[in-house]
Amino acid sequence: MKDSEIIAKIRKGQTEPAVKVLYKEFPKVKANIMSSGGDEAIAREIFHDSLILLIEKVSDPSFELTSRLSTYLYGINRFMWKNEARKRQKSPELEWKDTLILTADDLNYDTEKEENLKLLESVLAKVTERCKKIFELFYFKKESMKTIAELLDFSSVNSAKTQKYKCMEKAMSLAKELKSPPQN
Amino acid sequence: MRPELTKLEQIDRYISGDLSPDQVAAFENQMAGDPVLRNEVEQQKELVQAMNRQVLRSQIAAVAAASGGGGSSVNGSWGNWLMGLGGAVVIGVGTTAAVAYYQNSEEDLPTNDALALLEEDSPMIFQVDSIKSDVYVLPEEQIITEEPETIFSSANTYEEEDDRMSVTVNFQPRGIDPGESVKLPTNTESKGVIISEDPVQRPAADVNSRTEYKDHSKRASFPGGNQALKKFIDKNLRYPKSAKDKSIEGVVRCDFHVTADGLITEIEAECISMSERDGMPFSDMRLLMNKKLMNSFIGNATHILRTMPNWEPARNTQGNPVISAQRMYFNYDMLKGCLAYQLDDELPINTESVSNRNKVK
Repeated sequence: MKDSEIIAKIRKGQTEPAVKVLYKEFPKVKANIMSSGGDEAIAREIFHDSLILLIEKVSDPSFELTSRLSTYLYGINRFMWKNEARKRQKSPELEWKDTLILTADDLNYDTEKEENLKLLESVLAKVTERCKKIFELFYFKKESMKTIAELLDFSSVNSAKTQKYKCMEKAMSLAKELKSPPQN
Repeated sequence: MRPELTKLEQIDRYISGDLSPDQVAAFENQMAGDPVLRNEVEQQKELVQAMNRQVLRSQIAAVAAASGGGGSSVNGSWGNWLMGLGGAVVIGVGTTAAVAYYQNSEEDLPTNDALALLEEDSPMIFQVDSIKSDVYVLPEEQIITEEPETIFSSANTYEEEDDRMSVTVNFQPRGIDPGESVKLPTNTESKGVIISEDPVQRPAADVNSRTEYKDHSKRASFPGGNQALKKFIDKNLRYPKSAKDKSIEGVVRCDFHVTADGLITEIEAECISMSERDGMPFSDMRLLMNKKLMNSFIGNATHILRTMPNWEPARNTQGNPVISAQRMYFNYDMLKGCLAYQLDDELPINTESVSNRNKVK
């Protein structure tokens, strides 16, 4: 599959085939990370995070690819690994072949925001299955509320909507609790 | 709906671009005067992003599990992610089934079989949309990625990209050509290290700015960027003849300083490895015995650096040019030609050695 096809797929929301293709780059990234002090688990985590970042970048219609997609993916991985290594108080010399050198500015990478997002993801793991289903259908699959109401057996579009916002409210309050645990 | 929910709805519609231009303007107006609202919008945006990420994560984890070896080595948290998500995700039912299936089945089950199993079980996949068909049934041929681009060879041509990639030289060692000779420096020192200095090239003024090198917002670079550097090396890098005749390859590491004026000083070159063509690297003993060859590589690499035009100096956050340390690798390869690589990481400047040498002067 060509880069342009992958990008088109991602923009159409068909991320899974794109992920399948991009995942073929994992062994190389893993080798690079492992040769500078990482282990397989961290390589996997970094690769997955980078993949998510890449897909988010690509989904933005204003995104323009200046190199090959795999080169860009290596660049993100390299950046993420460097970031992680810095957290571990190490700074290995990263001599990756065939990669872009990306900085936090290039990627609009904000550590605080990323941590916040990680936290929110863990919060989302706690909401009910039904809520998750609504969220996924609405935000990821971009289904209309009407389809969702039918799919999930809501009595009306309005009740589905109400349910969605109730779920959101719940998630937000959970997130607030996690950020500043209630004093007791 | 309760007022809180109505507010959520409004923010949500704003984020997803569901409002008319008038409404957007009104909402942004309201936001400008209300930091609390701004904060809430920001939070809700992040929540939506996190939702999307979570779905993506589960997709990736499913692909990881299906692409062989992934299933067993998924680390704890990924496993938990998958379990935590359970059937929540739409493809979830399908994918978790796939993962469970895969994990229960034998470790070395080939991917294709796993996919085949999945196809047989496709009724289990939550019937929501059509992606399931083009997700798992992709024939292997369709997802062949392009040639890996890890080897930079002068046999290939590359797109003109101005990123910091390795710079390759279109140089191929020719056959034995008596007409072509390489001038080798005669002032080689012991241990294969040459320290070449040009006293004229070191202005005294840069001593003060030296401490600020870490803040530079721009790195020192060859004038005209990497493409120009590639052309320069193309033109000037010669495979040392003595090494070429003996089919010996080598790697030279060069550390040098780029002063605030863009001059290259303090070149320290070291031949970090030599090997016979396609052979094992030389042992220390053998390196010692082939010091002449080593020096020919080093002499060649330092010659390049010494003949380079002035660089663009590194700049600190204020945009003032400052001295910086750079490192380049010159890789001499019989088959692929020569390769030069500029290390992009920041190097500390060894001020001690500089000041010591200043004292000697």
